[in-house]
Amino acid sequence: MHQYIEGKQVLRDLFFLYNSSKKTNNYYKGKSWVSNMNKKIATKNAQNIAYLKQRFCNGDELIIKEFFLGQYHAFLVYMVGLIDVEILTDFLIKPAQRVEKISQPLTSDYLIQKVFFLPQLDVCADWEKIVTEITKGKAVVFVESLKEAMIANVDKFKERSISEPPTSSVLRGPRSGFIENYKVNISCIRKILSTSHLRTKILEVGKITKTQIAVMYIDSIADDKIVQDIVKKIENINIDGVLDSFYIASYLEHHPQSMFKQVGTEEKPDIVCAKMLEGRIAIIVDGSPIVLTVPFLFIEDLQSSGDYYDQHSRARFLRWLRVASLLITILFPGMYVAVQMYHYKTMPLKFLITIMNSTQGLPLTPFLEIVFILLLFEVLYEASLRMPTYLGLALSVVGALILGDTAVKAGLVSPPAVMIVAMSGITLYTIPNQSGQLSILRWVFTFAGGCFGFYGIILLSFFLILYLNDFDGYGSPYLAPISPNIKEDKKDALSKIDIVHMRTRPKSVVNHNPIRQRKGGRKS
Amino acid sequence: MKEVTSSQLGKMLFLSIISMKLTIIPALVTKYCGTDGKIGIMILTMLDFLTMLIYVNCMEKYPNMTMGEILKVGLGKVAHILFFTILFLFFGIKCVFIVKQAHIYLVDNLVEEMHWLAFTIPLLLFLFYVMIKGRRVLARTIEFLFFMVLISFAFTLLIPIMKWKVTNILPLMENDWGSLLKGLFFVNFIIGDYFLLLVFVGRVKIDASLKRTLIGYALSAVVLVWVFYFVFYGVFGKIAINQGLAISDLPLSAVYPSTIGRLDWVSVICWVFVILMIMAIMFVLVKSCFEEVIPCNKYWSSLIIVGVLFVVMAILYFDLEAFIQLITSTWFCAICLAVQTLMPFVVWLASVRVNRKMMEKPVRFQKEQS
Repeated sequence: MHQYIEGKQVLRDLFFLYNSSKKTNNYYKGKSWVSNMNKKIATKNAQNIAYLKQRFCNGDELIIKEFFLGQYHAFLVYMVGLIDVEILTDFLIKPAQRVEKISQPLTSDYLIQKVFFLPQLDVCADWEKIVTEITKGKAVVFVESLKEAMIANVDKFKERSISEPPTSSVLRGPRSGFIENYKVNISCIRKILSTSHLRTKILEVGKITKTQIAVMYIDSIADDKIVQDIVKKIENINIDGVLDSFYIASYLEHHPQSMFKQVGTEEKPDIVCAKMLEGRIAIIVDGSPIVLTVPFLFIEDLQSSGDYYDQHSRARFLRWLRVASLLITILFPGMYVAVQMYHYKTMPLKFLITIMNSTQGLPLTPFLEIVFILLLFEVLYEASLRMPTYLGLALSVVGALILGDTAVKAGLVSPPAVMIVAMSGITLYTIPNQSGQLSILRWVFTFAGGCFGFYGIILLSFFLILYLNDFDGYGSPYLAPISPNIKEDKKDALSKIDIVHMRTRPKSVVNHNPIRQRKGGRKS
Repeated sequence: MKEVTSSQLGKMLFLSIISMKLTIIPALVTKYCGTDGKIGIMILTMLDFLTMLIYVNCMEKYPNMTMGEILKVGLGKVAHILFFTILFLFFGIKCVFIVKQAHIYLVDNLVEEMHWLAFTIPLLLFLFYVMIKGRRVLARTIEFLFFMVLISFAFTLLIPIMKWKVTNILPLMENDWGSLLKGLFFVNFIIGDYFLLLVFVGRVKIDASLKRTLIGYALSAVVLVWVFYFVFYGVFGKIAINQGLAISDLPLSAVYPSTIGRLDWVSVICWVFVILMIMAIMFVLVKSCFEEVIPCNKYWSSLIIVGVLFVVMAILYFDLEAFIQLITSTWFCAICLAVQTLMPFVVWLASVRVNRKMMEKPVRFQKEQS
């Protein structure tokens, strides 16, 4: 009789497995799990265990630990390596083993209140959610006869600690940077913005990765329409996986074909908070230390967080230096070619003689000479990025000293051309966030200068400004506050005034709380 | 849709006012008015300035109606098409003139040998893009690059200041008024720049300072043009008639005979920017008028305009003199004068009739508008 019942149970399990496998196969035909599978969990533990094993393909990572909770059979399921074993033992397994008999009707509420003492213990009856939570490092407790499971938040990953990001280092000011855990990143922001107006919307994107995305904004400052627009755009993403915030940035851009950056990327909580205080919205993606901010203006990359922790006169000087660097980066190689090929009369006589002396007898035209050195520079840069650190150092020495020097000595290139490209290369990194785009622009301007001289460079500059003026993402003109001219915002644009006088939030970013500080802040 | 701010429109107006008056025209004015050209330009610019007030008034009165709508409601569809056809031709001829001047300027100053195709093809591609992007993007770009205008003026006026002689501009009036007015008749084509405002009626963000801003920019442009003419005559005197392009001849006169490492290169580069801005404005105006006459897709209208210009440029490359003869011929100047006199009157009439209709049937009018 007992064997008959067990056999019947096995048959039932097999039938269940067959059904669920038939349903789950639909996933690979492009349909989602949710719509096709048995959503509710069974009251029989054997069925649940069988289903879980089938769902995880009997993977070795899945740990199923059976135990008794009084007179009830229970089991615990989790993925190896993703949980904190100590917490699991102390707050789940040990309390369960101490229970001898449960006299009253068993409910999940009773277990949460009387047996388990974990602060984060949720009840769930949806298989899809349970499976997702297991993959995310939660432990799930199933108890016989209960129609729901309990999800314990005991996840623990090996993560790097908060440190200063390599691309946003400052001499003064906060040094902490974001890490790959979005919860830590949220807490970093919340620690700075201690207000009940700070809102966080958690979204999930990625059919397989199920990446958590937090949209953060200050309710009393940020524009609701922009928030809704961003949330809608993220919700509409239908992709298998999101591995970095850049995946999301592509969906938030209004001109996705453009090479120009249209979404802000920040690595430090203090910068993100400053931007949120201006009405921007932050998007934190789990697994990425780069937080996105929208709307984005071109001027943002000319500003550094260090500007706000230093004398404003010094900050103003540095900003103009960055603007000059920007112009040198993109224009210098092209102008050198144009001057050499078409407009040598523009040079003062002494300069002209020096350059003519050093370019005499070169086999390459000025245009090909610059193209050759630029190419060399790009290859060296790419190689030094990919190489191990110790080799990278050697490579830069080889590249800069040996190749450059030998090329000049061999009479292939002239010293002024090497100097022009080197200058352009150094100034490129005064605005590290734009270095990719600027590097391409440098090439385009070199070609324009080589083909049409100054006429080509002027025409291309005009075209570029026209092109960028067309960008108007989230109601913020890309080149604001210069065009359109917004006088109030120029206080913190190419120039920077004392913080005391920055009484209003930027108008370039749509917000519904224009006043930043009242008058009289400096009075003692 | 409100596409431009009053400040952006003011800057475009400024560029439009200086457009033809500062390039080849000083020599042309001198040809017809002699050394009295400086007084002639003052009369022309002041007359032109007065028409501005009618257009600004119309702009303020009907903030939500374009000029096309005002004309359709006030004077009917035929008048609307006729009006914009005339404007289209007016701006079209100015465009051709400015493009040709730009070519001459580049060849004279920047590139010694430049095939007209090497000049025309990139320029047309650029202008095609400008026309597709339209008024709003252009207005912002001009706002961004406006500082170039100031640098250009500064260099052009300051470099030759040492060569300026007060005796060259005296006496202020050498000939009688009759011959001056006769001379002005032949160069009246260079005014009429305030027509620009007509294309922007109903498309400007109306604020309290609109009139003040526009008048401010227009007056500054007019005063700078006067200063420019006084410097031009003060430097060249009697030989002003022999000059070609004033904007390059003025600084060049100061640095000549040195040909290497000249300071005026900064001015030359800035002027190229300014000429490009002027061309961009003119082409957007031509495109706007064209679309009022023949409603079509922005890509098609831009392509047609660029195509026509290419053909005209090819012809002009071989025969510029014929073109200058055309625009200074008696019949052409008579038509120009008639158009410039009639346009403000037509705008005023249309505005009055729209106003009357609004007063008579305000509800029906509003429904029609909506």
